[in-house]
Amino acid sequence: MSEIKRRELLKGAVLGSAGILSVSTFASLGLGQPANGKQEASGESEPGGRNPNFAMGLVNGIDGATVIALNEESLVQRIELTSATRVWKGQDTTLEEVKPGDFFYARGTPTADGRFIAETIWVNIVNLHLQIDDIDVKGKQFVFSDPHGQIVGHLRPYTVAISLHGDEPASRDLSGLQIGQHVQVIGCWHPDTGEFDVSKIFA
Amino acid sequence: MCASGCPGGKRVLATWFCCGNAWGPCAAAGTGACGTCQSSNNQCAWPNISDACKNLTKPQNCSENPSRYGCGTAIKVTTCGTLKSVTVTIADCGPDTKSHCGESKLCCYDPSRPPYFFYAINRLIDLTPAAFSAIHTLDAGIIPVGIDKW
Repeated sequence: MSEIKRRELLKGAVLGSAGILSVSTFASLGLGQPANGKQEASGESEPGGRNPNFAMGLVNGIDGATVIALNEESLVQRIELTSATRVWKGQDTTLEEVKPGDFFYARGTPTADGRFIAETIWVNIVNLHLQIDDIDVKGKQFVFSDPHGQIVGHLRPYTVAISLHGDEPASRDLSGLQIGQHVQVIGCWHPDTGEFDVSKIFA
Repeated sequence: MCASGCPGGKRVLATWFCCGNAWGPCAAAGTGACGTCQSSNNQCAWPNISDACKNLTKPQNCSENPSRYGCGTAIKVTTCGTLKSVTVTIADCGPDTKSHCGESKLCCYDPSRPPYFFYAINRLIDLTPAAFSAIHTLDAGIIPVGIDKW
């Protein structure tokens, strides 16, 4: 099950049908209890608050070393890259690989004039919980599924498997993965499709 | 291997999830069980925010018994090794602890304290992208951390 669908399931289970209950109803479900933990300074923002060193958005265009983006509040934001900025799109790459229509998360420093200097930008990154439905070695792809359908994961030269049941290092040998197995996958989504490039398979 | 990097508290595995306003496959994520979750906030999911939540996540299947904490409770999360920390508040129900029983990663090594090698075991917390990226790179996927309450 994808992380998104899992969240929907968990949310649906506590909200009831179609999430029609209001926030004020949470208390009756035991969800709206006040915080009982002592809040501590995180060094970045108030606990639970917006992280000023984080940005996310949809790429509208590229202007030199600047990504022109629409953020989650539908405001235009300029994400500036420097020679030290790490660009990830399935693997480490360059700004040339970033295209309009891509979405991104970025970590960096905001400036007083509203710009954002990126330290790292992750483009089209997804974190999915899936089941392996088919392994096509010749076609270099896995077919994954969650309860809502199938997703094609393309294997790339950088694809690795990582065991969560031992200390083995990441391996390019995927032969230990089996049909029916539940895995967590870090990948790079192909916008507006049901396909993505597989970076890491945790099993 | 040098002795260092052991965070205090309980050592568990953490990953990240998206919520709130978003694009692409994250667009339908919603604002979580607390109705407040946003990917750009320092927030987390906890497996025992209500009976309904715990019935889904079933941490007891992994011999875990996380305390009942309500929406908005603050938890300090510290990475193994680098000891970077972020304080998050609970905004959703999760992770799906029961589906990951026994998963582990080496957290740290301390030659002065048996058993010397300390592991992060099981999933008791998920972080928003903003919170996760404050302490580690998002493409790491799953990381061992210490949490100050459980």
